[in-house]
Amino acid sequence: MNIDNKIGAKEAILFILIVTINKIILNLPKSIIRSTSTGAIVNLILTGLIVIFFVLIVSCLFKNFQNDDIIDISEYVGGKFLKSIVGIIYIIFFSTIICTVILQFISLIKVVYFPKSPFVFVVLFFVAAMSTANYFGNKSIIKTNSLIVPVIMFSLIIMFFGITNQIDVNRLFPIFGKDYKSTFVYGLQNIYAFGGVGYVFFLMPFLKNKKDFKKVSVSAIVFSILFLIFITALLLLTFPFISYSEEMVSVYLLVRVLEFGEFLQRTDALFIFLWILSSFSYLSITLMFVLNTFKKVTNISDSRQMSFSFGCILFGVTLFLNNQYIIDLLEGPIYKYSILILIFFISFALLLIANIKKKLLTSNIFKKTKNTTIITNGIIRQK
Amino acid sequence: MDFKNKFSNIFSYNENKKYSYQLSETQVSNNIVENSEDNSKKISNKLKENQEYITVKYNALINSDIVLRNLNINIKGKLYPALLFYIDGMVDSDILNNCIIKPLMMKNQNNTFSDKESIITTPPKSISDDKSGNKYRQANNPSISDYIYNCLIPQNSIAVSTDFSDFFQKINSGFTGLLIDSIDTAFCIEAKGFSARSVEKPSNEIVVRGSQEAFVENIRTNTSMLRRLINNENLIIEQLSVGKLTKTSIAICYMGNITNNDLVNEVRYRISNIEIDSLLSSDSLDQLIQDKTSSPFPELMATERPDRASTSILEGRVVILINGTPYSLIAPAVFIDFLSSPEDLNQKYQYANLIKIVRVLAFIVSLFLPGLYVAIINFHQELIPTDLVFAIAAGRKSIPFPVIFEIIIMEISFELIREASLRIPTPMGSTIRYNWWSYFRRSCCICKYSKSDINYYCCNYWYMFFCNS
Repeated sequence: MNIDNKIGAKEAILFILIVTINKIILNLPKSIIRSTSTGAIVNLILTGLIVIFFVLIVSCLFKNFQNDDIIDISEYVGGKFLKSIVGIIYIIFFSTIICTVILQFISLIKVVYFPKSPFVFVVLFFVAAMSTANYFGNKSIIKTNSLIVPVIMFSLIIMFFGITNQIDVNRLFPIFGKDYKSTFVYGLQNIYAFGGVGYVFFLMPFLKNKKDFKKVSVSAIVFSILFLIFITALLLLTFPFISYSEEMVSVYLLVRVLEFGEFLQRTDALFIFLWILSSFSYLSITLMFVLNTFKKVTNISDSRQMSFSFGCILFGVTLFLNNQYIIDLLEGPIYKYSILILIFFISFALLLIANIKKKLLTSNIFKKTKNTTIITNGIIRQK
Repeated sequence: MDFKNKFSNIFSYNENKKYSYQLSETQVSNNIVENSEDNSKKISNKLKENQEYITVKYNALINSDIVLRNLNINIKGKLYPALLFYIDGMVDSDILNNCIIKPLMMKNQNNTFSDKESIITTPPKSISDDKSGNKYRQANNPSISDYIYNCLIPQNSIAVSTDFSDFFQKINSGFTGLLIDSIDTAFCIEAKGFSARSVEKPSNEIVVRGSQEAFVENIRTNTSMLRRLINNENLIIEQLSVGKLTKTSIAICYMGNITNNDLVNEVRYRISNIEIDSLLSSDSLDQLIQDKTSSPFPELMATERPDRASTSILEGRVVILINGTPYSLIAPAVFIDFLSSPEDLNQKYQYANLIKIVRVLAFIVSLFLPGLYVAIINFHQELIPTDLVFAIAAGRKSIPFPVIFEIIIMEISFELIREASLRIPTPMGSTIRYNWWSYFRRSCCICKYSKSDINYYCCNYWYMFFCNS
């Protein structure tokens, strides 16, 4: 990895946060509320603690692979064959995320911002932006992301001050939701909300200081949890109907009712502008991972030239998926189970197996060195 | 006869005697100035050869400020023909006369050996211990060039050159050259006396409380200002030269115990590898050494304040001084540096930080406000409070242009005004300002009587602006 592409701890935290922020905008809180009702907050706290614990284990397992990501680890475990398979799976996974995010977001902004624009042009707008950002290199994406994420975080926090007159604490009750099973048992599936963990598996080669990996991953997950809880709580406190409604983007409902005195009202256009920037950043980062994975799988020297090629492919796939039900399917069960299986199971298993293999190998080497002959002072000794 | 002359004058052909010059595509005449790349010729021990070479190189027969002064120097009882070579206007005559010509030409007692003085062949270990009163001379005969260098020229800075390229470079920067017959070296004596601008107040980076000195064109004056401010022996000032023709002096200034060596090496590498004929300004150097010239964002900061340059050096940055430019370059520079002021260090941190936040907001507003205005007026009117929407709609009722066109015209007008204020000569500027002032004053009166409030306020604003400026 080129030394120019190394990032510091703060940039890495913001790197992972953008995933959660975009998911928050694209109706993730609503999905959690739909499954757990008013018990969403408790459920998020529980799942958040599990994810923190998971990330701590992952950071401990990554100590033996200071310069590798999950693709390199899969090569260590199963050679180039496994590396190719895992690489292709991740490429498909990230590509699906890109297409899904584009379609979900366009379905929102086309109604609000671009009612008369053809769908193709709006898709092209997003695809061109992320391909061009990747063409200019990783550094530009990471630095732009570091500028955008704090602004988005600030805008999400400022929502609280705009809807204080509509908050009713009674709407949080019952605090454990419909029943204990949906909150504590079936609700554990909501661990997929922290899909940013998947990006943690690719983070190690990007870090300037490898010792920051644990700090970065845990901090990012903690911030993600806090933001998710904050927005979910805002939704629950503001709208009594939120558990039963079928709107596409719940956070848009929030910004529609924001009022800052009598001067600033109907500021949803500003927020959507910021959300467009955040989606550009998220899509650019995800495409960056696609290109990096492709580079490792195919051993090419520079993957930047492929950014426009991948952009064209993703553009075509996005146009192909123009049915809302397919989008809901991709965004719902497919995304959920792919996170659970790929990130929390397969990648974790690969990491575990790699660590075990490394330990066995080092202990075998140690045993071999124990049994070797040692010649000292002309006397042959057998140990 | 008169009629005949008049008739012939009317119908005769008169050749057009108006002179018109046309540059041919191929050069006809030879260059007066020869290619200067063959200056690596060594200095000869024959004075006449050296003199002829200098005469040809500098076109001494044409150039009026090139001075070649022949003289005879008495060295240890022998007369040697010598040549003083300097550029008139770049040397100080007093130093030249008192410190160079007089010591060389006037009869110097110490320069002659008398038979009565004995030469001690084996001097004692310590001359101060010997109480015999003997006069000591150096037993071994030193070379003439060493003798001249050590004994004959009472001047603080003398350089010895063996080839003409180095010799000419020194002469061009104001040194006086001394060539002596039978010696194949030349002495470059510092006797600079060209007139230069004195240290003045900074014209573009004004502060209320703080140093009121600014850099000048002379690089040595600038380096002396840095030395005085930093006052530390670890300040290193490296000299480089850039430009095949002009050989402009560049100084790289940094703290040896603070600055990252990689940064210094990179700056030195980039400057040393510049392939250019001439370098006359700091902005040219800025564009030659930055990473991407296509990027509109600057990577080096230019400052005319020595205190700001000193602060940067003490922070671990590298400051580049260029001879002939009162602006120094600070490398590297980050975005927030361009929103900082030297005044920030002279104030309490609370106020300084507040002002910095105001500057950032001003930057954001100046960048985004025109676009935001167009977006809100055209597409998102719901963002504006209802009363203000009505006021804006009423004001825009009589304007035939679309908003975007209006904004573009406004931006172009600002650029035109800015350019005009910089380029217009001062005598004309005051006349134009007076005319504009009276025009806007008249417009204000008309608007007030026509009760068009928005136009009145705009005209009044411009009237106040021109009054104050």
